Amino acid sequence: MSRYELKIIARIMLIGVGLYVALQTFLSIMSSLATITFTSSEKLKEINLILIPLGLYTVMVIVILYLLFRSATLFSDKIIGPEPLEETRISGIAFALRLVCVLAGVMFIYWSIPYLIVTVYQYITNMNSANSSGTRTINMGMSPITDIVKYIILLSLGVYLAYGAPHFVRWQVRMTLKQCNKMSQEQQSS
Amino acid sequence: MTRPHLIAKLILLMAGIHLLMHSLSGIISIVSALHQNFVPETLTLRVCIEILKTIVTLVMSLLLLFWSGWLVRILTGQTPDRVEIVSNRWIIAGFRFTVCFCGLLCFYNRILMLFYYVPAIIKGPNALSYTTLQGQTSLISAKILVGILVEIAAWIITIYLILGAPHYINWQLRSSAVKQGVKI
Repeated sequence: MSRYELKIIARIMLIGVGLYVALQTFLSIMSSLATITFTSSEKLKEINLILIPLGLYTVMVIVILYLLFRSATLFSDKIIGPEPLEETRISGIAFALRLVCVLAGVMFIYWSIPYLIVTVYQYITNMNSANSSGTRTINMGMSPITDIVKYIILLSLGVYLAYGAPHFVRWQVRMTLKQCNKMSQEQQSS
Repeated sequence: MTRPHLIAKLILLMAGIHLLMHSLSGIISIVSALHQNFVPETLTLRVCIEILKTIVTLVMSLLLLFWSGWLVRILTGQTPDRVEIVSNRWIIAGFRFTVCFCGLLCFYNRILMLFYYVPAIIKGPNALSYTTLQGQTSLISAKILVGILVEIAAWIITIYLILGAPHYINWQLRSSAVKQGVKI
């Protein structure tokens, strides 16, 4: 498979993920707007709890989409690698693994960002209400700090994967080739 | 194995892994159904539905993971006379990419659940139990215990997938070679 074909595949996959993210964002905005429409005027104060994280989330998603659509060439170049390797089969395997990692990374970022924003926002709101009323509500019986740490870990993993997870890809390529050689040796001996 | 066969097998493999993880969470649903305060008739029905759902999901996942040949043949239809046979190297690589991708996606959920169950392991089952009006705690603890066991199984599967599931891929390769040999 030529480098041009690999680049096209990478771009198609990236744009596919971008379209998925766009669709999901559109659906979540629509459902949030429906919630706001049916909210009574007494609960109008609580709308901030939906609108602010949703606004931040939308901005983040727009940034991700911008990167995926406008800089798809940049990303696909990064996935394929700067220089052709000696053997095209190694280049192809590394490319596919890097693509898998980038796609998983984008999904990690896409899944963790909204929860991170909401958790941080709820934590700040709770801190403010605790300061004013002296009481604090803890979500799901778990510390909000634990939630924040959890999503920061997931976001960091997502960034590492979206960057192409070089160590992991190198190890996987090595193991794949090892398995291929082992299998061909077994077939030759039998 | 031809290219359409490989693509079909990989898609079915992804579906199979998804269903396998789903069936694991079904076990927790069964224990949750036992915990909820239903009248006996409804409880039996609810538990039966959950058990049936889990068994069906598990059977379907095993079919997709280990005996998907017949479904692949249905999906790909009749193979034309001149079809390029995919080399073993690309079969191994294709399976590895797929299991790796599924493993990474499962890893996300495992990290989420890790932060839920670790306090229970450290502080004991009561750490995560929420109080009901009836003050039931025994079944909640059982739920957490089952949850931890299911989570351990899910972690083992996830790590095996991220490592590339070498034994499973070897088995797939051998079985497809045997089938090619007998011209099924």
